[in-house]
Amino acid sequence: MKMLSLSGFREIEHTADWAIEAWAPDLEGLICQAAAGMYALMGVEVSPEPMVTHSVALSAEDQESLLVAFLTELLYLAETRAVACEVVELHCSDTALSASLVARPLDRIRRQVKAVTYHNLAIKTTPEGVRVIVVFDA
Amino acid sequence: MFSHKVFRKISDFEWEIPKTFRPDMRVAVRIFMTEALLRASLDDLSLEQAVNVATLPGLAGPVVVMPDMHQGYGFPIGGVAATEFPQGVISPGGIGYDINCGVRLLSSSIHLEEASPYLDDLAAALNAHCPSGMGKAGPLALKRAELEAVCRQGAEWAVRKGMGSIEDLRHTEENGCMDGADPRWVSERALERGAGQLGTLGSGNHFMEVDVVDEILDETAAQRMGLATGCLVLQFHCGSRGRGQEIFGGYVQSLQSAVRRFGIQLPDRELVCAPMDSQEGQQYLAAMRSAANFAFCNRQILAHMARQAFEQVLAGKVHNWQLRQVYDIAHNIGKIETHLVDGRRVKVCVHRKGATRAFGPGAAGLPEEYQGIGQPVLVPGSMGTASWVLVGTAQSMERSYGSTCHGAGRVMSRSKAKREVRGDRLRDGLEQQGIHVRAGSLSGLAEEAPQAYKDVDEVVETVAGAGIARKVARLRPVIVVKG
Repeated sequence: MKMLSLSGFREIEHTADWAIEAWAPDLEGLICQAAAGMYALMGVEVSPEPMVTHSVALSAEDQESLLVAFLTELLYLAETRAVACEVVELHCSDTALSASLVARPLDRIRRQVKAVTYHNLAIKTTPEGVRVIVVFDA
Repeated sequence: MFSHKVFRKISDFEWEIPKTFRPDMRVAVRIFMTEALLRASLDDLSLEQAVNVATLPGLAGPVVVMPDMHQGYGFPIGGVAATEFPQGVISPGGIGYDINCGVRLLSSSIHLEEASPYLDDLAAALNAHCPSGMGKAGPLALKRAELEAVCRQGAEWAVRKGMGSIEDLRHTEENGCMDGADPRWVSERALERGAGQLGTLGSGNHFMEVDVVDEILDETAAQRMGLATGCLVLQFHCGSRGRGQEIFGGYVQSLQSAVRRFGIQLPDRELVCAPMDSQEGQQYLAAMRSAANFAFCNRQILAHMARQAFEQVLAGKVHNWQLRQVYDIAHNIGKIETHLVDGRRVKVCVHRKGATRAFGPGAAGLPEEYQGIGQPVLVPGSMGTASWVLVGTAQSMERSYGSTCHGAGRVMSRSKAKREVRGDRLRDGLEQQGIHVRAGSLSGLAEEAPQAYKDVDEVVETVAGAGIARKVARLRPVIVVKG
């Protein structure tokens, strides 16, 4: 498939649940695009204020597990703190991720994403960078 | 991937994919479908997912899929897999994120005619008493010790607080409490996510309905369950809410390393698993049972609040507003049971992912009044369409690990349903059919439009034709409440 820009995301049809495809030049960018795609699926709307900074440090088996762990962290913050986060800075290796986030209050969520799945999850290298399909439990 | 030559026909309602189909399959896949449903199932990846499940270590017999099967993640929804206990594996994906998602049905002797003037008020009262939708908090703010007690005691916790009766517990799968729950293996985050959600329906395909008994096909069984033609019943569909999701997610992540350690090869990482006799397997079983008990308690509290709504609206206006519990079933669960496999009795963990337990007459664990008829099976249809009450059979015990279908089964993605259906028009159409609708979100309503699902009547005809359930009563909705 020809991508229109170097990084982005799009929704993919799934019979019972939700799925997105995300792509970016590198892993850090891919994780940010997957987060943006998940928020877009949820139809998140935020208030500009008050902003709260939040930092995340995660470790996992591999890159795919890091992606699941990071998105799961964002879902947890949405459900328990009622915030959506923008990534200010994100670094990751194959097994560790650290990120600085700005959290803003959620005004509205149009639909609930319950969880991030490992279903056929594989980060693939392409001539343009990396891409992944993430399936969510709806 | 599948040509018609792959399928071995057993009967008009039963097919098999032999284990020679793919080198990594350990067992066959048994499919309970008509030819038309089987052809339709090729439109998504559900059969491929069923074949993937057939590669799990320790399977005792064929993977079984139901006529309402559709594509899930890892396991297909509508799948049943039995692994030998204790050396076989337990796979969280075979149970699902919403652990012990299930259905509860309560009967009444309220005739539709006497309740008709009050149905809109009843819809409003049910909507007010039973919180639904995203982020809606429940009526209880529990401290940690109480949350742990809910995990251990299940529905009995609510009954001890005056929210229900012993009869409710007797008419609940596992009497509303799975043994072996241990909240020590439930993460802090899972406890936190469940804290405010006890007594809530949630969103998505979860709902509460008042139906009228439209048709009875087995008088004896219906009478035993308190179902009478023309009378109202209440049913609702929900599970363990954020708690089950957090437990599932946590274990799917933590078991990724266990799979490598045990040298298990998987075609899909979502099928992650661990032997039941391993530390990881034991911990997941204890956590899963904790979430299952949370869900039983959740449905017990919802039933209590629904009864309050019935009393508020109908007391003094109908001859008897009381609701009596018919049964409560789990359709996302892992249970240790003994089944006949290839002529031998084997203790197995039956993974039911979108499938309902359907124990036949005389099965252990059924209350005395259901011993002669078999276990009630509750099969909700898509919104605005019929639902069914069935019973388990001797055949379901022999051929599907005491399991049958769980609902209509999706055929259209949520995105497509939203593109093709307008929520306001759908609501107006349902209202014109005499169905009183309360929906938190019109787009959420559109996602659950009837055309997004298979025909539940066709699904039920299939399990009845195959003999893995027997029809008792058909229900028609008059009130729908959705988050």
